[in-house]
Amino acid sequence: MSATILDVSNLSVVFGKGSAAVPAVRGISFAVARGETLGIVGESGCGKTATGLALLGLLPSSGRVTSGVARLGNRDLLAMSPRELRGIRGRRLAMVFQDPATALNPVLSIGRQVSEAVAAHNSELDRAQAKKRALDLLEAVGVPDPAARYRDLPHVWSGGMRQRAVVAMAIANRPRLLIADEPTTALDVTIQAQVLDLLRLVQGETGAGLILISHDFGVVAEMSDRIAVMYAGEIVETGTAGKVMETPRHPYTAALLRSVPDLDLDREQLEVIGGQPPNPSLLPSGCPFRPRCFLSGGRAVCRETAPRLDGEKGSHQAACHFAAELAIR
Amino acid sequence: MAGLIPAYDSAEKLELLPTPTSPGQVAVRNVRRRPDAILGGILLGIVVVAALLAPALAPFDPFSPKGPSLAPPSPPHLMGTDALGRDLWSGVLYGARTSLTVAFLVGLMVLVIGTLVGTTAGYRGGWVDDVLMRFTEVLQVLPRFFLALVVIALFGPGLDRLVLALGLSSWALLARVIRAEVLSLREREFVEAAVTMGAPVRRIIFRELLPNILPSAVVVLSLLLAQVMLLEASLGFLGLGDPNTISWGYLAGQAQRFLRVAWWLSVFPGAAIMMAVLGLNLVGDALTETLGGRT
Repeated sequence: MSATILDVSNLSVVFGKGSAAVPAVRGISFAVARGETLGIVGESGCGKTATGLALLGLLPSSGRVTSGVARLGNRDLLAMSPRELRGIRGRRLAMVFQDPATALNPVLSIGRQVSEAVAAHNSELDRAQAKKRALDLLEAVGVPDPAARYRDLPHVWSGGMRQRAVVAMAIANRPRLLIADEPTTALDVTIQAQVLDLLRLVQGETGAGLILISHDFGVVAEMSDRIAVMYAGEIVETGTAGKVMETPRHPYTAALLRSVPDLDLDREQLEVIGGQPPNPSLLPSGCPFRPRCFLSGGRAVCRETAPRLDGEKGSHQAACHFAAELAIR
Repeated sequence: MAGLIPAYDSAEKLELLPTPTSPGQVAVRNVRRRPDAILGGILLGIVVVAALLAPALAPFDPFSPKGPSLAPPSPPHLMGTDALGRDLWSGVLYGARTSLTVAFLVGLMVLVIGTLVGTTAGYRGGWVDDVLMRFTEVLQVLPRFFLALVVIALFGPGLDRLVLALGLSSWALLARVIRAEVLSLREREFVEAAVTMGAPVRRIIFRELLPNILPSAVVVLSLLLAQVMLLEASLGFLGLGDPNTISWGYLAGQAQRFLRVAWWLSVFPGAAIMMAVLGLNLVGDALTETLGGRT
């Protein structure tokens, strides 16, 4: 494995205070290497987005990080002052937002917004130089004829083009790590593929690590080198994309994979996972996935002990008492 | 990096709309569709032109007697003359200057103070917000007309004090509206996006927040200015205006004594006040609808 860019260990995030406190992320650890894509999948409310926001120091005021270290280079993101964070955001780590319609300021021209993203960390550039860089960036992300479009306001552009502009802003200062939270969810399927291609190209150009947060296993499978599956605020399975996809060792992963529509399979109905993710403040005893698990079968150990991530670190780990059984099935 | 990543096929160019319409153009179009807005604009336009061109348009000095006493409207005194033989038409023209100057200066003060207080309270939040908003509430319950009266009673009549008194006491509503807008905009994704790019606070406020607040601020301000004009006229009417400047309120006030013998002395200044205030209100209403502000 090449140089690690981000190393997160034991990250916990809690929303609310006192007895109403809800644990959203419960002691997760992961790492991202240079040029690597880590896909984080899971249903809504599993703590995927809270993880991303915690890394950027953007948790809403009701949320806070209760434990953990997130090393970016040799510095801990979670221990930084707002001032230090401001210096690092955009330059070392940047975010691609879900919906380009809301991630761009409606009353500023797109060119202006990109050039200001450039200028945010390059105060030595004058306006013309920042504009030149912005034009280069827009061209790099595949905006046709950026000079003619420079003064357009965001609403004139299509969703796919806007997402390109958002990506251009994110990579304006060649961050080492990009966090993309559902970057394609708000887009048409055809545009999705283009934006994913673009993210891959940009990553190849800049050598940035990429954390791709998505509920769409298809997107994650296509993009990721490694995958982390989150359930109820924990990583329940992690490993290289091939291993997780081909030989899932957690029943949740297996069920998620089975519920991805597949045109090759002649099935009457789509498989679904019964029930809902548990309420984070009322987690079931033992394994949080137990009530929805097809593997547990009511065995006592599932009810009594919460499984820990087990397996070969870096290669393939899962948090299930009966991971071995799943491998046999 | 440019050029290394190939541009996407030109088919996507089609997704870009051929004739972009800016929000400004849309606003102009919407206003055009509203006859009341046009009327308001015309009324206001007339007042502004009168104020700007008063020295050129006014045939006489409004303060010096130039004709017969209490002459009814007829050339050369288009609006007649007052008891001292001063030309009313010239007075009304110069009065527009006073009215607009006061409105403009008060508006400027309100804009500066209101924006400062509103953005600070909304952006900083916490105890800063609490302190500023409690203070704003105190100002909001203060009767402005009474305050202006007290200031003039204490310091004597004069436009400078009037502007200060009104400007310092009128920003509460604007500050509250701006604070509310900041609170909601702050949660919007593009503001968060600017934060994730490491943008300094100054940039977030001036580039991301204020341009988006402008429409609501313009609406509040336009309606506020109408109130300020009325206040100024009322004070003038009571004889508490600046004795060295002609104002509509002063003219209307002087006309009281001659109400039965010289109707023109009351009617024309009154009509001028009505024109200006009505024009501002109509424009303000139209702006409220097209710019989506709330008052």
